[in-house]
Amino acid sequence: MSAADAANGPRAGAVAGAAPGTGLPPFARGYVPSPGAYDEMMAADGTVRPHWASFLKSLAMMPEGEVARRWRRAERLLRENGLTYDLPADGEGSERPWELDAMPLLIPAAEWRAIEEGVVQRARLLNAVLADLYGKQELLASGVVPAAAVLGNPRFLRPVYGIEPSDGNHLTFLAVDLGRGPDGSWWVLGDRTEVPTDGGYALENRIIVSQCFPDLFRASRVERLALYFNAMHEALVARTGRDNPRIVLLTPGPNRPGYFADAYLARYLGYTLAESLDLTVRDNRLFLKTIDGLRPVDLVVRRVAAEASDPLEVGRNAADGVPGLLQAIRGETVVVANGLGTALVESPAFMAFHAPLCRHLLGEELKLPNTATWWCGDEAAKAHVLANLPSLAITRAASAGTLDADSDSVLEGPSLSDEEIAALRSEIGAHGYRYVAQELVKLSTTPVWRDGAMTPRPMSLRVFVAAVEDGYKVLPGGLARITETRDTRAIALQGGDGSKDTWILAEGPVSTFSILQTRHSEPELRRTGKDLPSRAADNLYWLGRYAERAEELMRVLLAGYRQALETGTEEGSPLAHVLEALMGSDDPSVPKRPAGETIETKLRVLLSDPAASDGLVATLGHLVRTAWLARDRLSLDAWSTLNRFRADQVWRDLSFGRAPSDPGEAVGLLETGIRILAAFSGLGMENMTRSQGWRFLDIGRRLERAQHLIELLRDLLLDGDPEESGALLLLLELCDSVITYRSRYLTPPRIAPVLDLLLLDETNPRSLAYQVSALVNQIDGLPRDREMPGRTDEQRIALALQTAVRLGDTKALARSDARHRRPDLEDLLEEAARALPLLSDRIALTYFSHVDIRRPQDVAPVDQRP
Amino acid sequence: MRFDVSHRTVYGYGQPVSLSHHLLRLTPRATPRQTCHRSGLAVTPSPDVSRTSSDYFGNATTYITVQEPHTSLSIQARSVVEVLPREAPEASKTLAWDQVRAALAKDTSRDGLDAIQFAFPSPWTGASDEVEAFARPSFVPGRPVLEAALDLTARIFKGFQYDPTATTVATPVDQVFALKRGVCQDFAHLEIACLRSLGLAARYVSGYLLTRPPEGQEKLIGADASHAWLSVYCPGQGWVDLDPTNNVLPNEEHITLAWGRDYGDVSPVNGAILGGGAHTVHVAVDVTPRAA
Repeated sequence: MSAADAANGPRAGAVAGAAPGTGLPPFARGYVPSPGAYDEMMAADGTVRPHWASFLKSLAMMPEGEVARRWRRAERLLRENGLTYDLPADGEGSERPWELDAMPLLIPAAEWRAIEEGVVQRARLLNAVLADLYGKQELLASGVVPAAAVLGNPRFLRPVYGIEPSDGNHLTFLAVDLGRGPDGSWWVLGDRTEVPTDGGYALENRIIVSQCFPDLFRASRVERLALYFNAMHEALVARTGRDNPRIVLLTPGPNRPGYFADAYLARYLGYTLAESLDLTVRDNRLFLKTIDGLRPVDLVVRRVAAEASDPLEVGRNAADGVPGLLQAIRGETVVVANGLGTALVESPAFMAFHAPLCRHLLGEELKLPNTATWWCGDEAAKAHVLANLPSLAITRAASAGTLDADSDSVLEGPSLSDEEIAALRSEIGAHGYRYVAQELVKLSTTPVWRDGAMTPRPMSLRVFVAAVEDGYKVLPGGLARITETRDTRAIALQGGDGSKDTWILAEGPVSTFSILQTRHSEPELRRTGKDLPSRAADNLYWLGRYAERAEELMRVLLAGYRQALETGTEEGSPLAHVLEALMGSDDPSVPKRPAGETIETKLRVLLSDPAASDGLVATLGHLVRTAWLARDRLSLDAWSTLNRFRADQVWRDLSFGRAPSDPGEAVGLLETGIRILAAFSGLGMENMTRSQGWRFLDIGRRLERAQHLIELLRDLLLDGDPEESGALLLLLELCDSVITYRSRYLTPPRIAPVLDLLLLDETNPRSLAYQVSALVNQIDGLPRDREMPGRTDEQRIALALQTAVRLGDTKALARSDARHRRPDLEDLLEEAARALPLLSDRIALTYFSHVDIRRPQDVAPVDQRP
Repeated sequence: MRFDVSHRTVYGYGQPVSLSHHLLRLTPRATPRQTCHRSGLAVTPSPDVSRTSSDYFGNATTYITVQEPHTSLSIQARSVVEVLPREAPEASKTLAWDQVRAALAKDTSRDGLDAIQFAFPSPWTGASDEVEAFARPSFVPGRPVLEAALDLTARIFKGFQYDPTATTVATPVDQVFALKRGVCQDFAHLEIACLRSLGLAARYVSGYLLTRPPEGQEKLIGADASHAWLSVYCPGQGWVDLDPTNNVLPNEEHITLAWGRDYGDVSPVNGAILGGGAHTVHVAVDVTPRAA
């Protein structure tokens, strides 16, 4: 659509800046597009484009402040979901919230059809180019593509040469960046062929925005995304030739950008999210390492760079990738999509050849034109570029010569000094083939929501394409990306600042198909979850342990601050004893705390000192980090619950060492913390199916709780007279068993009933007996070789401990000798203290040990000079 | 000349290795002057998977997987190779190097396309402008390409010291250039980088060299070694081998295993293992002339 068309449309809007009441909602009245740029919503004469009219009208009918109110809720949702673009494993540093804008980009269906046709043609074209260059190379012989752009390109992967995908699809996924020029027409800014991620972001944006404006969304007849993902999935299944194939989504891991999109998509499509360490090649076949052993993989949706996919043949880093993967691909035992080597056609140099390539390979004209591009390996193009250097954008094309292939960087001619231009000129003169020049494109602007009003910002649109059974299909929508600057040159989008949902406005009714409905092939009925990679099991186990450890610590601190608030703390009390034990680290590398610290100091250190290795700040850090690693296995609710320790202001303050100002505030904070953890464990109990993942989470929790209990009992009951010292009451408090005790006994705490309640009573979820029984059950439910007779080591250890606890006799345990010692109790605690770490080790060995270290082997030629 | 070649690589591991994958390029390739009459590979423990194929450059490859736990791995390659003597090319009659460069960029024939891929920097041969500046004096405009290349070969031989302790398998060309020291691999990479910086095509050759014991002494078993040199593309003559380590034009005593853009393309034994702890490696090469 051009500006002229829009101007002829119905005048639904009004002149920008006109008096109120002319049809524009109040928050759009100050909207002024920048001169010379195309604006998505408003034509040059200030009228609103027709396809925005009903959207604006609906917005205008909302009560004053309603949009802002709804969007605040959406922003909270975003934060709680932990939707971030880039989160390092240590949970600090360069984390950047995913900036989603409230206003969708609207595109009418008729205009969208043209874009669709253009990008589908593009997918066909790029696929044909790849097929030729990794096959006959007729394009080189005929000179349509200069040999240097391919053979001198580090993204041309020679080991992949000659591999032909059985269905001809080198390119299964493609993302295309589009921009709209001042005349209203769309241009291609670039292609993403290597790992076209971010489809998950488009999906998440859609869910947030449509939840925020459900009525508006329905009334606008927006085309749905689910059909696209379903068609993509069915095509992937068909490629494996199996009814229920095992599909994994191979991700570079949680510390890399795009992980969220990967995890989200994997869950949406029901694929196992795997890192390269989760995979192994044996017998020329790819396997997933699960807690249940090795499981064959039929298809890999690849989100790692080709250079990190098989260290034996491509790439140099042995720690990356799956050795032997290429052999498995050649043997056609596994499909990898996108195929390896597709990065070649994402090189900017190729932009210069698309038009002739399209004529040559498809016999068609390019439907969506490229930004004008010159590859300086060609003498005529080089001459043009050298003559116009100050007005062009210069990209160093996939430059050879270094070990890192991905060193593209963009220079803007207009912002270069004379010296820089001169240096560039001589560099291009000498090594032209490394350089690509592009015209500086002016992008269109679109309204964004800022401080309660609409304001224009430059945008580009990332469109997603996937191979389906009869060609390629385009995601109806996409990721609109915006920048904060008002600079409308395309180059400014390199580091986009935010994104938008994109609504394709259908002319007729839209399909409300949901991917959650039955797929057209009947699924195999099963009661167990998908495969659980060993690494994921390991993470869930530690998540259970850290959640429990955080709760224990909070309970101790809560008891301490309550005491400080109510009666004052007392040196030498049982509480002081427990704090002492908590702070005394066995680790010789941790400096000893100074002697004579007051209880107050100890409480403060354990609560808010980020440097205290066993303190609450460090423990919560571990907890959130582990939850992050295990996030693809947690429900959104469970993750948002734990994410409060990172997102809520009070917990953020604490993590920076800002302690609550008085004990009362500390008590409040700790009570909130315990409730958050209770909510998390409740979600685990009620909302997680009894899958293997849940078992490992629970095993971690039970082991931690049992070990902590043993330590408390040893600290508080083995010396002196606990009935006199108040140790029993503290013990009940720390084990959250005060109320249970009081409901059973009218007496103040006595040793025998306390031991019965905390050690032997299998109905008390805080007792040792309960933890041990739970462990026995969980371990029995873990996968093992059913052919092997007898019990596993884990089962044996757990059963022995359960028997010892069950045979425990309260009276004997409570009996003390003349020196106030309780030998029976000591023995039982000793046995438990020995068995529990052993059990932990055995479980790790059996279920997590697939996670091995890998090393390269390389021998240099060592010659002798004769 | 006919040779028996034996190339044995033995790894010892501190901890058992549960899975190992190796990609081998140990079969001498056929060339106009070289015939491989027999070639065999013995791997212990016996591999569960073994596949032979050839790579993009036409080198023979063998891919092996050992899936049983092992604490040592022995790879023994034996071959019988015949190498014919070469006629010394008339260096002064080759095409001028600047003409070669211009022709190369336009040549879309099969040979031309095969050659031009060796005219660009590759992962192991990326080099700074200083390397180009070093090469320039040999390449005055209009000088016949082979004559210039032989001059460069001689300058590297004289200007750089052979020193097996100075560099490792991964030393970049710029560092070799700064150190003025290295081994065959380093000198080959350096000369390749020089030639490519001028727009000429040069490829890396991995192979063996017959060594002769000092006069009156027995040759020691296992004393030979794998060797590396390079080849430069001279239209009309084809590829001409150059050995900067010894400043010779390789003849009957250089046995070619494989070629590629650099060492990374032709590494004779490349592997990835699971587990293993600390490991040791022992390589023994014997090149024995046999009566024809």
